[in-house]
Amino acid sequence: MRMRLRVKHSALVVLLVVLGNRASSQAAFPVDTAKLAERADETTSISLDKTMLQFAGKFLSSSEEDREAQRIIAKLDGIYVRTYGFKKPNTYSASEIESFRRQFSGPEWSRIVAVHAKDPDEDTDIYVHMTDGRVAGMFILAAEAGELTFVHIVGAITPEDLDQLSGNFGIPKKHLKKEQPRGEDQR
Amino acid sequence: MKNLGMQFGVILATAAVLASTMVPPALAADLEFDALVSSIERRYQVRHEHIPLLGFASFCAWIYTRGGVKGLRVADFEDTDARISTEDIDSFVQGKLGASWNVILRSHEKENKNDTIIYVRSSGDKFVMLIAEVEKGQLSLVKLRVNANSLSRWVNDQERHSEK
Repeated sequence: MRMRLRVKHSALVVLLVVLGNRASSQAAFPVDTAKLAERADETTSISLDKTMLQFAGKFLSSSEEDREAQRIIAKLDGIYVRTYGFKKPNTYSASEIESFRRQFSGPEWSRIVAVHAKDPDEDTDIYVHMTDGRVAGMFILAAEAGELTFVHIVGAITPEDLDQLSGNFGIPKKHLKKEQPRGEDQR
Repeated sequence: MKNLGMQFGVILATAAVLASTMVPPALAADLEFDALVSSIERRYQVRHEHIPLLGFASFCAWIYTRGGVKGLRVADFEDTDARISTEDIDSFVQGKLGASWNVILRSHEKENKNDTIIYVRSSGDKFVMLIAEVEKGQLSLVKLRVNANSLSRWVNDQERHSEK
């Protein structure tokens, strides 16, 4: 009998999800990523519905910053993250990214952030979903040479809230910093 | 003499009550997990492997996290004939668990043919997690119960400790 190392890794994954990354449930995802999933070397799908968000929120600390994050997640209905990792750079094409962007060209979506960084080559787009004049959610598309990340946040969230949540719940932190590193162009 | 006998009886009864309340939660039966393991064994014609001292490990986790994590159960299946596929085990497990469970995480690693799926059922402040991992035809199941309030208190205490 042997206790496989992967079992321990799985237990670790749970703790990372719940305690560390405080990540992740399943709603209608705005983009179809099935073709990407077929080509990706690593795929991760995180789904945190309202109940799971409340649960994960309990693990935020009592610091002022985390109390603010708790206030924000109380307004949210879900956070859904899809990450695709590729060993070979540029496994996906620019036209594929463009086709994802086109899915947000409808009147209910507005792009509020579009950042292109040259070194390393990174693209980040943030879209706001409006319903009846109110913010109903956000979508983040973060493209790097070896990784594509899609984040769908459902609920009333502001750009400031997003900045506060970045780094938690599977939301990438580096893409959402207000300060732009050198060599970046604002499109 | 009669008094002594009565006192002895009271002590015995108290000890029995205390002993019953101190049984580690890991040793308590988890019929749901046992039923799932049995049904997997029947479906794929495999036997799960016994993991020694798992009850003790669960008890330690319960003590260490001050009641935050308990009821750790693990079942490891060596599927030498590679009958188990991720898609099949996922739909089978979901069918057995029922609608009260949600999938919160799925991950796939192509090179190692490794898939991890985390199922969660919530009930107030208590959550039950089941992790299924399939790797090259082998299956591991891990189940644990989490008390959110106890665990968050413990996590916050740990954070305060590390800040000092």
